Amino acid sequence: MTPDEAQELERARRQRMRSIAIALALVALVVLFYVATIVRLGGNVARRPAVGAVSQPTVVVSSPAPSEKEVQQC
Amino acid sequence: MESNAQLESVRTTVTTGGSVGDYVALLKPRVMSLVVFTALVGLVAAPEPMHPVLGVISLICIAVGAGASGALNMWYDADIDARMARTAGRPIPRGRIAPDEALTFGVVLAIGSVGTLGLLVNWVAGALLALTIAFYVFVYTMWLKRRTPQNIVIGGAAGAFPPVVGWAAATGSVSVESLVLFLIIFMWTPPHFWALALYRCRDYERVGVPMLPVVAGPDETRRQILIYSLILVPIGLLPVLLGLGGLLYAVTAAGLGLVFLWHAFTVWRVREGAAGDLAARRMFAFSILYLFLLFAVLLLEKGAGWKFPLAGLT
Repeated sequence: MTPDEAQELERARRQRMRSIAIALALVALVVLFYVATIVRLGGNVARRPAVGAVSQPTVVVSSPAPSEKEVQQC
Repeated sequence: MESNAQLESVRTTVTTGGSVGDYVALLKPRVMSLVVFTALVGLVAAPEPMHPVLGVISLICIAVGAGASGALNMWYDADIDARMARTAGRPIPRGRIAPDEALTFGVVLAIGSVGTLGLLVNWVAGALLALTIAFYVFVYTMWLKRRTPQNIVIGGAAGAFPPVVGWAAATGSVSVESLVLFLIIFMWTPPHFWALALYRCRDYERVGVPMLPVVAGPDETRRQILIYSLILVPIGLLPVLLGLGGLLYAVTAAGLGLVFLWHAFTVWRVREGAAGDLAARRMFAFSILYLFLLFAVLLLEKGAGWKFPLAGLT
């Protein structure tokens, strides 16, 4: 093997190692953002309605229902 | 001119590209470890508990931000690094990484670490990390380092910010307690680096960096080391007054402070030949231990629950 070939092999090896390191760093970044999102959302993730579920109409209670006594007075 | 020619020769020697290890070396891992440690103390000492996952993410971002500062520092100082024994083996002077690659690497990591910390933790911590990187690169490296003997006095602020960033990551704010941690590292930096400069002054003189021993002479440097040490030791006790440190911290800070003063006094007294150099080397080594132990005790007191409050003071 000539010195030029050896140098080319070494260059290719370093390039491959750098590419692997960048790939690992990117995967780590994805995991980091995913985990941080889960931590940030906390229990809200579990309370989220399942995809495809029929949503129920929201009931808004503006004031307490009148008691039986109050109804009789009316 | 000479430095430009040297840098050009460095550029032409980059033939095979750097290994992963060379890029790791660009991040100054030893400095990074101290930064991570002091940031961890700021994070743990904060009154508000932080989710462990977000704490780890904060420390990773601070570590990467510190590494980015190191890479940008090595890019800018490649010309003088090549002519100093202590730094000649760095990846750029050795021709393992091209200066432009180091610059790109540093900028990408700086933006990435600040953005990630801001998005995932909070923007106060993100902004403080950005300030730390900017201060180290622009104020210390580019402005002060080659212009004034006060370079490491003012530039030391960059190294003092990490506990403030850690505290801000946990609380979303800056407080007196975190500023006291800042102050301890800020006042510790000059005696620490001047002790190093005392026995490395020929290196600094050769490359024209106006460190205090080069500009004002070794005797004045020894006097300044003693003065700063006398100021540092009482500041090291401030966490006790604020309730940040307990009994163990008080005893440790007082004991280590006395030893620190003894080293500073020895450096001031023993000035000649190998004995003078040895005193400076010992002071430099002990200063690292001093800072490490002070912060380690704070960590133990808060993290492991070893805190025994001092009645009447806290």
